Amino acid sequence: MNVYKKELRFMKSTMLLWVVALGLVMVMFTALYPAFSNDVETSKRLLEQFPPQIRHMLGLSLSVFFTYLGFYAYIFSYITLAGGVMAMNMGLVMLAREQQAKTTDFLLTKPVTRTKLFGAKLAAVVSALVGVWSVYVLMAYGAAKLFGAGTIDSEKYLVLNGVFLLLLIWFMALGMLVSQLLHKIKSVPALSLSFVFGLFVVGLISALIGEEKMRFLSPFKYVVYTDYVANGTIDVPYVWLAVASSVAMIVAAYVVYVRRDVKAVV
Amino acid sequence: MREIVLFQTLRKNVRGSTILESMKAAIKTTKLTKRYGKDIGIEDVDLEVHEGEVFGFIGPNGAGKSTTIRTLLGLIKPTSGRALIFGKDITLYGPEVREDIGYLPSEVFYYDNMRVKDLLEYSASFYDKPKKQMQTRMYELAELLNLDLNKKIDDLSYGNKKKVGIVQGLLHSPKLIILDEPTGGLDPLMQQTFFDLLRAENKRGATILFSSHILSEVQKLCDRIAIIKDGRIVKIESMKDLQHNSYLRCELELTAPASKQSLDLPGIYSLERTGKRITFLYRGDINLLTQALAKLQLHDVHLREPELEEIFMHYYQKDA
Repeated sequence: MNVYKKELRFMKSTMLLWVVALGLVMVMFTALYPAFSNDVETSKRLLEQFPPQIRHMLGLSLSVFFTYLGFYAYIFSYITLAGGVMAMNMGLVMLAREQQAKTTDFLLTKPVTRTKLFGAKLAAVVSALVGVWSVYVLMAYGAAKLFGAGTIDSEKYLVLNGVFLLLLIWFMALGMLVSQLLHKIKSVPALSLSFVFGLFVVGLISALIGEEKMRFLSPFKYVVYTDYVANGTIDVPYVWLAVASSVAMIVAAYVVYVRRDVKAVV
Repeated sequence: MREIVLFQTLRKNVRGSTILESMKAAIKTTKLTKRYGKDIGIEDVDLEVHEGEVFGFIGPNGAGKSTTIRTLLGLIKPTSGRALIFGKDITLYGPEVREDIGYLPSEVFYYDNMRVKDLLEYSASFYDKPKKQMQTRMYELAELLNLDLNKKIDDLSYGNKKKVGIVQGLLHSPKLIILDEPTGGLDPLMQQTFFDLLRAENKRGATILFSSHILSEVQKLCDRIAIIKDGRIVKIESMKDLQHNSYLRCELELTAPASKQSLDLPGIYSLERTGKRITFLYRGDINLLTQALAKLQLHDVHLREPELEEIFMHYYQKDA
């Protein structure tokens, strides 16, 4: 479809930028792995210095940290943070692109329903996210092998990265909804950085104080990666929460998009 | 089909045309209303634009012209009332209706970093018309308007961006052309070309809805006009009647104090004297006016067509 292709083209440079950014973050962290894995005893003593709550908050698990997957579970938080910003950016811009370029009149007076437009744009952003995510997974695997990861439990690795994709969709949905609730977006990065970092900090706090009731507030803590790597346990209700809230946000964004009056640009 | 054969619109030319009763309305609104909370955007707007005519839509800024047009185009949802375009309800058949509409907005903005050609081809891709035909038309129009298709839109002047808007609105040969204050930014020569273009479109059967606050433009092109004020239609007249009722605004600067000068002439309204200036409105034979002016000791004379605002003030104060 013409809109789908055009939207992808609009996102081309963003996608490239984020592939590079995510790649750099991941390589930077992965390069640290040999330092920890080579001298497990010293590293263990170092980690034991941190109080258990802090370790829990940061995702530093003594039991699994020195396997590659455990290490990955630790750096994973930061990867998802970067990814969250990317996804929310894309979500914000998806529907607000016309508002920023003041081309709303151009697009919405075409013989196409807003539903179709929404669908095409959604498909384009999801495609872009899946594209970036796929490249990231390949890069991460490559880096892991490069820095001496040894054998990696592929099922667990894929599940972890699958959670990453879910988080990307969640933040995209949040971006979409926020873009429709605000009358004007002054700065896309400012919005996404505040929301994503804000939610990240909320997640850290909820882990620090160990308050289970707070956990649902931050998608960053829906899955406790170290627990999963250690025991294979995932709190499935939280996964469903992520899915359901993403769908709810997308639907809400859709309803506002279809109903809104487009006033003249003064 | 029989109705079309029986009731064909006869057109001679734009001015002095005779439009016979046309059964088909290009646009028909019934009590179209848009309220923003307590504020009225438009209220009970009843309009009927016949197929094939050039219909002017005039009013001061904020009167509701843009609101009406944006409602017809589906950008704004009406609070109440109905609008049919070529017989189809705009709320139920939005996309179908817009297939046959070419919209030329007052302010043109386009995606950054696109070439003119890319934007126009993107625009064309939405219409269910033969691609080749639209492409040919695109090149024709660009040539006519002197628009470089390979330039980046960011690099264009305001006037050239306006041209992109014109081509974008016309390349799919729409049955209904809606223009919202279209000539701002165009130089006089280009304005002329643009009007010729509109006349040509009208000749091939397109209906034109022309919204403007510039009376002279409306006078050049329109068969009938609707005047909107404070969200309500106050008058629908044919151009002939409007011209018959329009007048000149006159400002005289005299060499001697104005109170001493007399201007005895029928057809003078709203006469004001201040210091050495006399201002008034005149409706009638221009020769009688010049003869009367010749009797005065004048320093300077300004005669101009009234602003639409002034027409309202005079015309509707009378009715009130």
